[in-house]
Order: sequence, then structure tokens, then C-alpha cells
Amino acid sequence: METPTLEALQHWLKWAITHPEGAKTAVAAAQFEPKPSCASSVVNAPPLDRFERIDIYGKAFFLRLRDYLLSVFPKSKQLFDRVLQSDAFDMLMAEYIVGVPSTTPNIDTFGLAFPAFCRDNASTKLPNEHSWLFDILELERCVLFAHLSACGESLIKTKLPLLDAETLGSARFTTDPTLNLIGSSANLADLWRSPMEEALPSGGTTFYCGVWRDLSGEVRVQTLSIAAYTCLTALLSGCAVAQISISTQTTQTQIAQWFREWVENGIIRDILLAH
Amino acid sequence: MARFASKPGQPSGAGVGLRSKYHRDFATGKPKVSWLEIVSENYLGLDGRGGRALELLLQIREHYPVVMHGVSLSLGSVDPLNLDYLLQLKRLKSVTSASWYSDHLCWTGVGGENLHDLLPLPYTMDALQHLCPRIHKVQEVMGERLVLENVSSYLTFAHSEMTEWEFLSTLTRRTGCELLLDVNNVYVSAINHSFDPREFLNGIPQHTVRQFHLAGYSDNGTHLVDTHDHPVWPPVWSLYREALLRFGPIPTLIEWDDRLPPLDGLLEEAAKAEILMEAYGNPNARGASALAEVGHHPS
Repeated sequence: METPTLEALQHWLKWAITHPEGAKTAVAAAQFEPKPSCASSVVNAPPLDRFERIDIYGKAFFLRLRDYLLSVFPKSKQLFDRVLQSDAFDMLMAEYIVGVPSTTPNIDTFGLAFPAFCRDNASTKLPNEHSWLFDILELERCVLFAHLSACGESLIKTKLPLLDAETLGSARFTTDPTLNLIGSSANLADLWRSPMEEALPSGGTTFYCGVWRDLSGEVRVQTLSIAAYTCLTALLSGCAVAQISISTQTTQTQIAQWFREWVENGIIRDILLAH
Repeated sequence: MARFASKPGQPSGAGVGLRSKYHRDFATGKPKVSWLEIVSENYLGLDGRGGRALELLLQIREHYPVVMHGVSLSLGSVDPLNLDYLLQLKRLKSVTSASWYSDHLCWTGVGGENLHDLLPLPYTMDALQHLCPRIHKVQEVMGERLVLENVSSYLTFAHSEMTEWEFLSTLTRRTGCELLLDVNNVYVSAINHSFDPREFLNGIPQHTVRQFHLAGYSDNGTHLVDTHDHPVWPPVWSLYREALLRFGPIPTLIEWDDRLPPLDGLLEEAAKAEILMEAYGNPNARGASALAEVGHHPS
């Protein structure tokens, strides 16, 4: 037996460990097997043969990533199962683990691309009325993103008392970097809270919600009115308050009320004064 | 509990792994435990600047010594070392004032992919030659010694030229790195590969061990798996006593990652370790304890 190089050994083992059907089946099929084969480098040591020993790593690999995805997308799993009455979600997880290998040292970030993968790979298989399921995946991705992102402290509270109304009207604002806004045919915030109890969407209405980390550090998922959603979208794009009022046809009083709320709950973090 | 240092500084006594389930317990109260170990990657966030977990850690850090334990250094991989990741670790170590950082003697991926698993290496001269410059590089970037952990393993390679403990000892001698001796991993590998775990302990130079790990394994009938989801089993406590007699009262960490108990359950395990450290790790008590264990009584 020729001694394999470390490089050949690692590439072969990676292939054997990540084969969905296990090492023995993989080697028997020999499809895409890296050469040289390193099977004989692994010791057959009863009571387990070499393939059973490799499969201990294989099972742990799939289980670890599956458990991780379930920990990040628990509500999506429940809703896919509830709506589709099939193992579609499990299949998507399995396909993702094999099809989009992790390249990051931090397993916590592995799930960030999962919603896009699902949309790309399953959208044609889902009836159109269930397409909101991808939105709940997106909401859970936003929750993950909010947990993983660094947030600066809120600077606006100390600046606000120093500003007059005119200055405020022309100012632009920095929002919390974790803020994401989502529109969907489902009431995502309610479904996210009670995936098994809330009524499923019946179509015709668009719901909006925001996801962000508040000043206590907790991640908030909150339903928004269409007007609040529009204002926040304008704020995010860098509009000044006065412009927002005109473009969204919202009264200054209403905007002022939201503004106070968004400063208090951490959505608005800082103010950029016009010079 | 917490018979040893319990304020920021160098860890001593028995610590526990800080997991997200316990963040609130530690952030809102001050549970009595000597020190904490974090899984480094859990605090890096999206880009190494940390997220919510790091914010909580920085509050908790005020009250406990902390050490960093990584799982993605992939020291044995033939891929280039990930310098961005190393710099993120260095920053994390700086902001948390962690006392030391550790990772595993293994590879976790190749070809740019991370399998997030601790995969074994062949114990060959080639592997040594591959590892030594990489350890030197890590130590150069981090500006201090790496603490390297032995992993549990489920397979061995036909072309290995030395034992795992000979391999580890050679690495410490050539690079100056230190060891995190995982007593549970020694036991699990010993059962899985039919060697005497005491031979492993006796093959490790005494001055090289910076930290111990203890954990619970799962017995799958044909083999043991290092699952970190049980209390420490009696044979591992027994081997830990042997390790204390050989290496002294080295800071010891209870690792528990799955099916986590309430915090009190975890702290009880740490308390057990501290009792054993006092009984077996004290140089003056070691002789008496050893004699007592084999049935002799000093006059």
C-alpha cells in the first residue's frame, strides 16, 4: 500500500465523510472518487470496519449542520411541515448541506444563505399560494443577522435636545444596522410567534414587519402599518424627515410620533445634520 | 464551589463552558464558579466584530476569568491558514482579556470548505513537518503560545508512525505550544482504539499541560462518542484523578454542549472537579491520596 500524501488523504476523507449515502456506498459506486483512493489507509479495527468508522464522522457532519439549521429556522420548519404536510423542509436542508458547503470558520453564519437557496431551488415546486413560506425563512434569517451583527450605542438621545424643529426636518438619520423590513402576503410577525396556532394567509393582503435589535439588545419582530413601513424605507434610503412627509403623504404629527417611538426602541440610532 | 480564584485574572480551579443558554444566568446573577471558557467562534459575529453574544460576554467578563477555545483553526489542514480568522481571534482575545486561547490537533476542512468536525490526522513525520511551521505562524500572529487539545477519534491510519501522545509531545518540544489535555477524549480514544489511557497520560511531559477538559461521552455499544451531553462518567473521573496526580491542580473545564442541564447541574460537576483537585492535585496530598487509593495508610 502506498502512503498517501496528507493532501490526498484529506481530500479523499472529505469526499467520503460528506457523501450522503455513506462511505461504503460512495466507494462502491466510485463516482467522483478523488484519486488516489485512500480507503485502505483507514484501519479496519473490529468491531467496526473502516467504512463504519468513517461514517461516524459522516453522521456527525450531517447531524451537526442539520441541528444547526433547525436551531436557526425552527418556525420555518414548523410552518413548512404544517402547510405542505411533507418532508420538503428536511429535503431542502439536506440539499443545502451538500450543495452549499460551509466555507466559514463560524458555523453560526452557515444559515445566512439558506433562504435564498430554498427560493432558488424550491420555488417552482411550491404552489404559488404558499410562496410566503420563503418570507418566513427570510424573517428567521433576519433574526439570525440581527443576533450576529455588531450594534453601536444610540447617540441620538444626547443630540436631540440640542436641535430645533427646522434642523430636525432637514436631518438624515442612521438606523440600527440590524434593521430589516419585509413585506409578505402572510402576517409574518404573528406566524413567527405562533406558527402552529395562527391562521394561515388567505391572500389579497400585504403585511409588513420589521426585524431589529432594540436598545436592550433583544431582537424584535414587529408588524408595521404600510405607512410606517414606507416611512422606514424612506429613512433607510437616506431621506430627510421633511421629504418623507411629502413623499409618503404622512402628517408631520404622525411622523413625529413614530420618530419618538423609533428613537426609544433603537431603530433610529444617530442623526446626520445637514450643513 | 469556587474554592479557587473567582475574580478576573488567571483561571484556577474548575470552570464551566459558557453557552448561550446560560448567558442570562451569568449576565443577571453571579453564579459561583471559578472561571469560564468560551467557544471563540460563537463570539465573532458576522465579521469578527461580534454580535449580541459578545455584548453579553463583555458584561459577564467583568466577574470571571475567561479563556478562549476555538474549533475552526484547522491546524492540520493542507489549506493555508486563515489569517483573517486568526486576526479576528486576536481581536476577540484582546477585547475579552482572555487568559489564553486553545484549539485542537485536527483538521476541520480542506479545499476551502469547513466540515465543522474535528477530523483526525495520521501521526507521521510528514504531518509533524506540516504542523510545526503552522503552529509557529499561529503563535507569531497571536503573540503567545497556542494551547493544543487532543481530540476524540474514531479511526486510525495504517501509516501512522507514532502514538498520539508521542506526536503531541514532539509538537510541544518543537514549537513550545502547550496542551489542553482532554481527559474524556483520552478515555474515549483509548476505548475506541484499545490502548491504555494511563500510557497516554504518562507519555505527556508534565510541564506542558495548561488546562484539562472533562466531559461526558455516549456509549454506542461498539464505540464511545464524545458527545458532551452527559455528566462526566466514573471511568473519566478515575482517569482525572490519575491526571491530577501526574500533572497537579491544572485548571479544569467541564464541557457540556448538548442536552444542557440547568446551570446548577453544571456547577455541581465543577464542584466535584474542585474537590478532586484539592484531594489529588496538591503536591503534599498527592502521596497520601495515591497511597490511600491503593489501600496503604501512612503511619
